[in-house]
Amino acid sequence: MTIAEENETQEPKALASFLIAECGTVNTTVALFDVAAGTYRLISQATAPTTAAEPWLNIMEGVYIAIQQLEAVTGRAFLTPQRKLITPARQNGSGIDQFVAIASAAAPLSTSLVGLFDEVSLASGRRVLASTYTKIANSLSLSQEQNEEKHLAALIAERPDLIFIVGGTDGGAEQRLLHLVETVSIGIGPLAAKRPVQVLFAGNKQLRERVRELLKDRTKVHVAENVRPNLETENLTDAMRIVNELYSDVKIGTLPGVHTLHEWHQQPIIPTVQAFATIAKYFAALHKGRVLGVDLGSSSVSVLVADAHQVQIHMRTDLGMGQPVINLLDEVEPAAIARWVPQAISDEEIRDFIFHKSLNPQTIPTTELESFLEQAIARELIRCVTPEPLPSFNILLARGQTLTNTPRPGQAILLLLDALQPTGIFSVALDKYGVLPALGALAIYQPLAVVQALEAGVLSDLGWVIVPTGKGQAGQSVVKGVVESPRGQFDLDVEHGRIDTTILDGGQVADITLQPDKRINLGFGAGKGKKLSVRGGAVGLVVDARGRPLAALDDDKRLDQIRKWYWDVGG
Amino acid sequence: MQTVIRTTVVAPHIRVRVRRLLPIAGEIITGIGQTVNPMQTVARATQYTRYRILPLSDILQISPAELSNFLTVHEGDRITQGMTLVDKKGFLGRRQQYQSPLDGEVYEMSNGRLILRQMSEIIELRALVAGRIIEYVDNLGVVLETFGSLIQAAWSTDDEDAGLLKVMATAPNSMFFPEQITAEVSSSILVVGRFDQLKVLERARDTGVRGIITGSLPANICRLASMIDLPVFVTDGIGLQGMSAPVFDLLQAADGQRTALLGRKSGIRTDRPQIVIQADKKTTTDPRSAAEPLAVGQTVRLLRQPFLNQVATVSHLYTLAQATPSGIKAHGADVRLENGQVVFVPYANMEAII
Repeated sequence: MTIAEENETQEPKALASFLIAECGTVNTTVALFDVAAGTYRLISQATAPTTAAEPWLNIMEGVYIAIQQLEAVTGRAFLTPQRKLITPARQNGSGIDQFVAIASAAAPLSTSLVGLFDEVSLASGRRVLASTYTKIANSLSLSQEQNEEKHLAALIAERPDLIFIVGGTDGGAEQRLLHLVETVSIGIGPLAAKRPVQVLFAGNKQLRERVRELLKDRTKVHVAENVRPNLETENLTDAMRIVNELYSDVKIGTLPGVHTLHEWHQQPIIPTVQAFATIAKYFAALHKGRVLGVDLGSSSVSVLVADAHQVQIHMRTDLGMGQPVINLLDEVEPAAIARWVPQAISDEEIRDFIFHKSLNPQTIPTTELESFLEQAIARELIRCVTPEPLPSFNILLARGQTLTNTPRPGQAILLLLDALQPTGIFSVALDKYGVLPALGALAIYQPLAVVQALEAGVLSDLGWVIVPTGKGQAGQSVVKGVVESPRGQFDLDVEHGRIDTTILDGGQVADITLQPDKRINLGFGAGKGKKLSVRGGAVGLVVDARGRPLAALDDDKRLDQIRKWYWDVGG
Repeated sequence: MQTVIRTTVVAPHIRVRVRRLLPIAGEIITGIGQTVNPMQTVARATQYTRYRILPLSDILQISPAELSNFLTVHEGDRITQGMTLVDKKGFLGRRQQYQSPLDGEVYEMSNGRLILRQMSEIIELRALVAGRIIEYVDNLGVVLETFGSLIQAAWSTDDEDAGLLKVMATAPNSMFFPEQITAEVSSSILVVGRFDQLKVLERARDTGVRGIITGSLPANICRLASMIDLPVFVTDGIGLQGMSAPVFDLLQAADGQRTALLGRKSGIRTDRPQIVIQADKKTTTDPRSAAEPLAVGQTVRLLRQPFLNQVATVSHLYTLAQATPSGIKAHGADVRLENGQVVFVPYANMEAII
């Protein structure tokens, strides 16, 4: 019986099994979600190198290898001998009901940003572009002291994938923006002759038809809601959606071998950051709070803030733990990285290490020093992307190999606290299996299954963190309290400048009563205490009373202090 | 269960296929099957970087639609400075003319404006290797087939050249100093183990050296090397570890042979910098497929401390993740180092030498 014939004779199961492939720039992860022992859960996942670049030039090779690993581990067949996907799932356990693809393996969408004024419309345009995998090739605006001829030369020289035009309030001035659109129109000629150039217009809505008319013979014009309908209002959602779709079409859609992923998925491939944003929003709705997401990728770093209704994404594609890590040296001095390393290290060693890591992005640290060094780099990368001021949040979700590969979980929590310098009270979970975007994709197709998968322990709960703020002096008690847990009752008394950890096992619920000093704020007002219920985790309950912002350390005390912090969080 | 890892080609005497690409689209001026020499131009492109926008309908005080009636040039026409672009006969025999302010090309007429572009540079793409053209790559360049040795480098400056190989290093990790560059080695491509002085590059450039191949180079020198007009190729990594044995052995055996350093980034390049050492003898041996699964007996180069840059042989492949000294668990293999020691190394931290 052929597969096609067999497919016709079998009905898919009611609760669909999902195979979700995430193709990153360095690694491809395939995750299998299905029902086991009556619960929907992550059955297994496997990782292989991404094969979009030389020498393979076919993204499917990495997907096949990861699926074959999954077959070896689970004993289930997902591919035919001809490497066709077996779908839907069979009674004998082979095959899969649905396949979903997520990707960030493509280069960022190179974009020319065109608008009227740097501090108004272009600023909004930049925020739109920071929501996904884009690289701003150049900006053309009236604020620049460049004439039209220079604008034109810059536009043509950069050969962007996308020209993103913003500017003008609805019903506002028209001529100056139209003049810029004319320049764009001239520039598109030779660009479009080489390869399609996309234009997205998200400016004065009264100009939409004029813009379409000016550009219609040269390229396809996408139109989004005005990012600045008036000076007081910013409306980024619609433009963000379209830019994401364009990344999916123009960049992911042209990865070598991607047509097979399309055959298997039959839907647009979801950009990884969008899948991560979806799960962050899902968490926010589920827990009725605000979620901070951190994705420390190989070729991008993103920090996102999600509530049940919206997600703000702050992304940099010129930074990452892989090839773009070299650009960190343009942002910070080596000394800024060295300050987080609990061993002596020279500026030259840091520069050499970063350059070497940039050439070998897939490598992982196997010595203690290199592990600390990668963590130090991670701190500075996250700091470069973190918005200021960082809003308060209830849940911190973090992903990325540097975070999940720390030898001890306390190191991951310390890394996040140093990098983000958050305040308030929140829980921390790590994406230890690298499947949070896959869960985001699952949430789109089968939202109820996500709850079951989460309850089955797909994330690594590190515990809860309390960060008091306010003025204190070294040695002075800033927070006192009582922890009542199944292990017994403990007293808390944390001094200013210290980081204190109380062990609370994973899954255990503890009641804690907190009373800060009268000048100290836990997020409920200065001197105001509270009784809370928290869940334990791999680290436990952490009280970070080191103060905000973290004070710079004297060189002679630095190594001892950093080592002590690591020690105090069990790292 | 298959395992694939990154590969590096360090292959003696194979059939080498070299892609030679322009940075922008242009014209290919060699035919398929044609034999070319290293200095021969295979493709060329014209670079335009300056544009002039002439608001002619405003100048002539006519509507944009009328302008085409008076133009004496068309889109794509080559123009020279002083050439008449527009010729309008008015009442009573009055004529209005407008001359080109530059040498270049008529780019476009748009909304009553004539856009001219000024030719700034002609880019000529040399073959750099002797060989036969076997394929065109759109209008960007060609694929050349030649015979010899191929080394994929870890890093290079955005540069290329060709010359005779001159091995200066006596050992893979011997330190190289500027004083070792003499007039005798001008026009050569120098092979050194390692160096840490910028002066090496400055002296090499000033002496007429065609390029430097080094095993390793500190990051601060790499950054400065990009500003010096000299191809610099790093075969193994960043720092001062020197050159790995397989690369050194191959280069040492090729002393005096014609070599091409291919490091120029074309914008669409995804492959690594290449060192092509040409041989007269033909072969039908192709490089091993980089996509082959890892197997016991494979020679690998190790990419991280504590074994950085060491060459080893795979002795056992693990199915399950193993613990490393840092505490991280990873999938990997046992490898035998050159000193006989067997150590566990994550797959991510090794590359197969093929």
